[in-house]
Amino acid sequence: MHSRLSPLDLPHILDTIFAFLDPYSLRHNISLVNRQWLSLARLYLEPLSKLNEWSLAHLTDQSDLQQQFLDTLPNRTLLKIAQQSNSDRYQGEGLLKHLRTSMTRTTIQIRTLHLDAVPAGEPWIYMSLLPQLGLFIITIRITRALWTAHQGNNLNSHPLGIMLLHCPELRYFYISSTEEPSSIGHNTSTLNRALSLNPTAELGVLKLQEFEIANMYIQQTTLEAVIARSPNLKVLRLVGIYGPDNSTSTHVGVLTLRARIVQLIDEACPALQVFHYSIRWHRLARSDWTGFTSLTWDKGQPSGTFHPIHLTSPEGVIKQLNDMDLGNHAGIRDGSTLRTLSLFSTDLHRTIAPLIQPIVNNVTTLEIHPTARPPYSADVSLYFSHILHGFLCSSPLLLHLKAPLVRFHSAFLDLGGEENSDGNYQVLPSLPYYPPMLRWTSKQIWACRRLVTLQLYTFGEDKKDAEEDARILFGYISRICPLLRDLVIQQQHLCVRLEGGLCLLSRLHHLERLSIISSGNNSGFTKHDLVWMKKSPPSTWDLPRFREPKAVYKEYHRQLGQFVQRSLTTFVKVDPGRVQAMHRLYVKAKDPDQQLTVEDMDGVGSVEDLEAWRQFRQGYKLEGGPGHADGQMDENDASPTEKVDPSYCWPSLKYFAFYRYQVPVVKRRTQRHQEDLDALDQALWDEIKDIRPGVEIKCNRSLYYNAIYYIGPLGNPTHLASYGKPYVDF
Amino acid sequence: MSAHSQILLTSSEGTEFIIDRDIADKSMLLKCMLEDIGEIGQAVPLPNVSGPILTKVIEYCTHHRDDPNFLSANDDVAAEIDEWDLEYCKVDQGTLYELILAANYLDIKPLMDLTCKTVANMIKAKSPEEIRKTFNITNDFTPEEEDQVRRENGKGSRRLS
Repeated sequence: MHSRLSPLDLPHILDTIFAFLDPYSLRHNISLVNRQWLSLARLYLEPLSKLNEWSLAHLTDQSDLQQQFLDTLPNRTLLKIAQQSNSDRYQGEGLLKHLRTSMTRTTIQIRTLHLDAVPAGEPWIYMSLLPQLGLFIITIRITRALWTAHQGNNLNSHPLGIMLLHCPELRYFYISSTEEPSSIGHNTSTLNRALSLNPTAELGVLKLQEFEIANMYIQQTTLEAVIARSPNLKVLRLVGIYGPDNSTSTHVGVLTLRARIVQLIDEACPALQVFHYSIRWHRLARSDWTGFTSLTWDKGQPSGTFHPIHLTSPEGVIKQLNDMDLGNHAGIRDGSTLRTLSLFSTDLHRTIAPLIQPIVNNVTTLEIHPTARPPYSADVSLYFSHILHGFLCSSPLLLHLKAPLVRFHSAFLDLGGEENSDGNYQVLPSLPYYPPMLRWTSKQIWACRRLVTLQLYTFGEDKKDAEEDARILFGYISRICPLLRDLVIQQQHLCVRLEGGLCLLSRLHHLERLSIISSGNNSGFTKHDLVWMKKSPPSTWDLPRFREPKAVYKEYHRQLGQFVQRSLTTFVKVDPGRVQAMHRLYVKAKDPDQQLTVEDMDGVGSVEDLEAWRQFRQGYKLEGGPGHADGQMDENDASPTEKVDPSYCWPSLKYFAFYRYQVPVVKRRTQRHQEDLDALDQALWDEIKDIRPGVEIKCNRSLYYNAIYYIGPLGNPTHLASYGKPYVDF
Repeated sequence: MSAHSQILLTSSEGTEFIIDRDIADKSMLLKCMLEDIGEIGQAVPLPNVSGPILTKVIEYCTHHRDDPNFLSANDDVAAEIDEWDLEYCKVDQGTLYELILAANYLDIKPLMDLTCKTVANMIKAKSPEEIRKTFNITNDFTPEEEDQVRRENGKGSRRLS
């Protein structure tokens, strides 16, 4: 085979690729790959003077450049200032002296000011540069902003207020912090009180037309003060805004009073056309609205796929949605085959749920984002689970469910309990302290049998058997959703040993992407627990650590005084008749056109279910019998549309992310140092790579960071500052 | 020129493809060539593009044939890849590379942007070592140079504790 030219050898192609990368990746990953990548990445990281873009470091280092800067400034309309080091402030002040001299001779009319990585407390910019240049500025763009965590709620003493005061003609104002979360709520300097505005210099009516603020810490009252003064506002985008939590000033959370902002813009901003509020930029955030209090609307003619919507209360909005033709719903992107609805978890409220139920029943994509300050209490999560479960039980058209950061209680998947005389099923019989309305539901199963994408963050009660809990989860998914292609499961203490039934997912023949993310210390496993993932295991495949069910294990422990490891060829206590039944139920479940009933989910999570899987993998053929008259079809039979070799586990698998926080692959750790974690990542990566060569494997902690972002080791999201990138795109 | 005139293309193996002129015009290379020399009725040889890759390229151009913003659609770096394009790019790495080279050769900017963005997405959140493994890149830094870059980047490795 002749060697082909790789596109990555061509600088201009690399250049195009790098243009799509964020500064964080460029700085910390790309620039460390090799020399060529470093030199190209630097072009993006250190933009030299491109006409109007000036770096202070370059200016102050080179006097001829500085003179050129001053000479050409009168002809420029855009000024970009990038802070290179802390010493720049002194150099900047020096530069300002020249600037003042220059301004005595000529007029400088900078229209657009771009501040990059400049701290908020930088006096020479906020108190010297802006007063001189601000009169003509109509656009301010601040990137990699560094603000102090607690600026107070007085707009007059806030950098925002200072900038707005000095730039009376400001129309477009965009602020975003660095993507590195360490700078959210942190700064190297505090704003000097002396920089506060004169109290008499109150901000009047602002001319702002577009205001966008992303990934910043800000008091809600400060934000409201800007909005209230901006009657001409047409576009307002609030993305990833954090403020002090309601209950305590030490915690950082998302703005909790967003309803008040909605009310405010309705009153103060009659010209507003676009209002976007989201936790952070999301796949659909730019073109679709997220949540019922985040709408894009046009008060003139309907534009694009959006209908005019009048923002009132969430219930009012839903009523308007309800009255519309579903084909052109605001908030539902109306494509030929795609209907997407993005909600916040708080929108899944019992007063709202019945109203949006008809919409949910007609969408193909449902995304749910978290809002409240995490971690959720169990009550809130159960409440949410109750409603989401109801949605899923009545949405046969749903193809994509994406709720990777909102917890769903796995008890709703457990159908092993009994119904009462009213036909209601008690979800959590062992936990009577939950409100009755959360504990009881009708016994039903998901209707979304054609689900292609499932991203779920499940949680269970610690009292349950972790192995059975996991078997129920994996068994349920593998039976209900035979067409799954993208599966993300995140759960603390998720048992991934063979007894936990992760292997049941091998029945998902279409799976292309699988992400298993968990933390916890009660589920150590070895390579033997994963070896079934081999694409085509040998016929004499043995299961060296296939232990018995927990009860039997305890019995052995009691009788023998110690646990005896042995290779089992079967579970000793399984009922052969039940195993046969499991086979038949799976054969039925393989057809997504079959409407399943609760009875069809019999045995999900049982040991017989696992035994049926084991027999199937070892070449078991289902015998003919009642309900299976032709005697031909068994689990090996593919549906008419699929062409799979059943002996293969996940023949289409391309991506496998697997992260366990404590994995005894190499050694047990007493201190969780970086080196240990790196070694574990590498070891796990090696093991899985060996099992599934050719599949993109991901075992690094970025997945774990995502997992703990909303749960946090101390239950406090401010800890996100200690970890890596807070968001991983699944 | 007829709106429905057709162009004959020949891939590197000699396979012939007949496509509509408006689809061929998505490629700046073909467009300029056809404008310069006119439609001569002979096959246009594309020695740098194999048949399967040319099929994929034609599939892309055909899908976007009525897209009015074809040339400006991907100007927004932050814009998301639409569903069809996402599916289109679900190919193995070798095919993706071939598509990039073909888009580069044929000068189809939107396809170039799409495929490069796909590679960028593959790179995101990967460590330098993972990137090297994924793309089979040799590390030509000396340890001292690598340390130097790390220092310049101003961030040491993060610790959890």
